[in-house]
Amino acid sequence: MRFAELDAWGLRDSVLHRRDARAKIIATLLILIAASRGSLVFPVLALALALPLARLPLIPVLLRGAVVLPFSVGFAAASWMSGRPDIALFVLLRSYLSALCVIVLLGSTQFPAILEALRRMGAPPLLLDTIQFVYRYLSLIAEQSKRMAIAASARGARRSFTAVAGATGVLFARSYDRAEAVHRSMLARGYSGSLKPRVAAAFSAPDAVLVLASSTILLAALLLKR
Amino acid sequence: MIEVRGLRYAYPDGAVALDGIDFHLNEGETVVLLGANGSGKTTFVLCLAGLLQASSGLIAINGIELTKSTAPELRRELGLVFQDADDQLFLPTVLEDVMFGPLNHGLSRADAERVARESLARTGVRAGYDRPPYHLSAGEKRRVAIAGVLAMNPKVLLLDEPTTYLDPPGQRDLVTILASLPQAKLLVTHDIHFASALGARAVFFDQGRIVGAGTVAEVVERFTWNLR
Repeated sequence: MRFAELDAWGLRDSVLHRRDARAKIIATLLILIAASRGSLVFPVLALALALPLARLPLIPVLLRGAVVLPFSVGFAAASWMSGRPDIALFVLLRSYLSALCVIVLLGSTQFPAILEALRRMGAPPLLLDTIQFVYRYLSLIAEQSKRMAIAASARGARRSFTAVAGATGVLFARSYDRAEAVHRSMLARGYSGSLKPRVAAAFSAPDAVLVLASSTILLAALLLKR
Repeated sequence: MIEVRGLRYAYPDGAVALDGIDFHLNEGETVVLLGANGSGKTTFVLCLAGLLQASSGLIAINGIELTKSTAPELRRELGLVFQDADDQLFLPTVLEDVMFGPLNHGLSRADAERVARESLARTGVRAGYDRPPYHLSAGEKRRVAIAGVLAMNPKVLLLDEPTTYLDPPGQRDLVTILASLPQAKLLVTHDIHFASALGARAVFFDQGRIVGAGTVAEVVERFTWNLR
């Protein structure tokens, strides 16, 4: 499962994995701005450096980055048809680069650490708790829907709107039941309204260097575009 | 330890799930709840943990009546292990999940982590504390779920179908783990071998009532609760 693969990457050890999640989030945001507003040379160089530093497998990462292309192809096609093939190419490149940046962040940081970093950066705790539960249970719901699809196929089901709508309804009801059960299990272990924050590592000098380097890349990308 | 008198529970649609239950559990005792699906066993356990509000009757834990206001405090005495471990393991890593209860009980993060590691070791989980719970096997999930409850140092363990999804070696390991724990235990199970291995006393539920009690062997014999 793709979800599990990203988790497994997050558990690896590398120079980038050891950086504070806040530094990596800020660095990613800066590179994303550089990729969208400035010259593409520096973000590409940054990625070329980050991938081996994070010890992530090159081909799977490059393939995963392509997941955004179906979304950007429409915009690229519109630009192409209006006689701007250069813009079309840039749209595709920028979106692909942006996806790669996010994959490097997710692949070099455990998801709970990203949530905790966002919490420490002032994101609303309720929103983060919700994201955490979605992250935890999405794979279970996906497995459940897969089992339902197999069960339906085993009884000769054909794809029809009615069947899919019915199955979605059942999946929703099951998810609701699970949510109730999870809430009960939380109450049984003393939950009183909020999850306790994790302890994040201290922001160190190498983390500051990462942010500084990303800021320099953004500045250089903006300057080169002029 | 636990005293129940005249407990009734009806679902919002009016269906009566528990109909006048009288029950007691002594300190350190293990009692097995047997009975058909839908006979009220799980509802009974959820009422004991204060997770469902009884329509009438009395539940007292260590002499203190279980009410809406006393429930959060009395839940400290009870460790509920759910039938589906996925309902219980909701945090992103094994260690964090086991630390959840101790942190809610006010332990510092360092103490909670120490207690969590001890509990995981007691249930035979000695590595992979950073793993997400959905990467675990069914047996590992069950061990982590029990560790999550043990970390809260409860006086009573309530176990709802703990052998679900476990293969025979997993069940054997579970018997060994549970037998080594000093807590009183209330087991909901359909597994007669598992019940016999752990339970001295059994009660039999039928349509929301306790209709028989005795040793596991006696209850199984009386209600023909086996494959024969």
